[in-house]
Amino acid sequence: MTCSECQVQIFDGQLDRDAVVHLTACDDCHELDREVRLNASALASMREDVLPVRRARRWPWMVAVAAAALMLVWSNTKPVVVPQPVAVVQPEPVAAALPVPVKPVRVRRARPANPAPPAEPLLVKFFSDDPDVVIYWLVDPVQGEQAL
Amino acid sequence: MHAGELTLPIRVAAESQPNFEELMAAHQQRVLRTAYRLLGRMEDAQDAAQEVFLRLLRNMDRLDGDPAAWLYRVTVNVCNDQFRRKLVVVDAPERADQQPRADHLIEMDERKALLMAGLATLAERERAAVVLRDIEGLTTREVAVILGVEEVTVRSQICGARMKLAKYVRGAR
Ligand SMILES: [Zn+2]
Repeated sequence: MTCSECQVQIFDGQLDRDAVVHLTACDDCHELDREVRLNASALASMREDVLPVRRARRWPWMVAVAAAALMLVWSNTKPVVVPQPVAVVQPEPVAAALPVPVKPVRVRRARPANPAPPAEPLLVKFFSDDPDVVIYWLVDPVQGEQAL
Repeated sequence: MHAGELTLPIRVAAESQPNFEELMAAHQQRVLRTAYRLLGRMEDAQDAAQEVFLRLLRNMDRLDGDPAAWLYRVTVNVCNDQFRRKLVVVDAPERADQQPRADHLIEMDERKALLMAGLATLAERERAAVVLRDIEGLTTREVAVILGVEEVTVRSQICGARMKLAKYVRGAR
C-alpha cells in the first residue's frame, strides 16, 4: 500500500488491514493518523462545549421573535372592517310628457350617529426565561406599535 | 394589571402555531451551536439562529417530516448566506474558569481554536458536512439528507475537509 492510499483511509476514518500494517512501518502516515484522530476528538468534544455568551445580543433576538409572534396574533385578531351602508336618494318622480333633463343621482354616505371613542392602546407583556428581561409591547391601533 | 393589558409568555403564538414554542425550546441550542461552528462567531450565530426561527415561525403550517433535519438544513442555508455576505471573524475561545489546566487540556483548547479558524477556510459544502458529521455527530446518511446530496458526496466532502483541517492545524503549529 502506498502512502496516498493509506491517507485516503485515514481521512475517511476507516482503516483496512493493509492500512494498519502500513501505519506500523510508515512514520509519516502514523503521525498523520494521530493528528487526524486528535482533530476528530477535538471536533466531537465541541458538541459538549458551553457556547460563549453574548448577553447584550439577546435583545434583538428576543424582540424580533416576539415581534413576529405578535404580528401573527395581531393579524389573526384584527377586527373585520364592515363597510358603512350607503344611502341612495332617489329623484322626485316627474311627468313623462315634459322633456326635463334627468338630474344626476345623488349618493350620500350615511354618518354614524355617535362616533366610536378612540381605542385604548393594548399593552402586551412578554416574559422571557431570563427573570431580568421582560418586554413590554405597546400596540396603538391607529399609530402602530412600539416596544418599550 | 390595567385595562387592556395582556400577560403573555413568549409562547404568544401558541394558539395559532401549537408547536412553535416546543420546537424552539427543543432545538434552539442545537441551531445556535451549529450556526456558531459554521460562522465562528457567537454574534453572527445569534443573528443566524434568529433568522432560522423566524423562518420556522413562517413555515410552521408547511413543516413536514423531521423538524430537526429541517432546522439543520435551514441553519446551513442561512449560515452559508451570511458567510458569503460578510467577512467572517472567528471568536477567540472563551473559558469560564481561569484555573491552571493540564497541558493536554491546553493543547486541546489550542487545537479547537485552530480547528475553528480552519473551518472558516473550507468551502461551504465541506464546512457544512464536517460540522454536521464530526461536531454534531450525525451519520453520513443523515448529513446527506440534510444537504440534499448523495452519501458518497458527503464522504468525499468530509475527507476533503478533514485533510484541509489537518493541513491547517499542522501549518499553524
Ligand atoms: Zn505512508
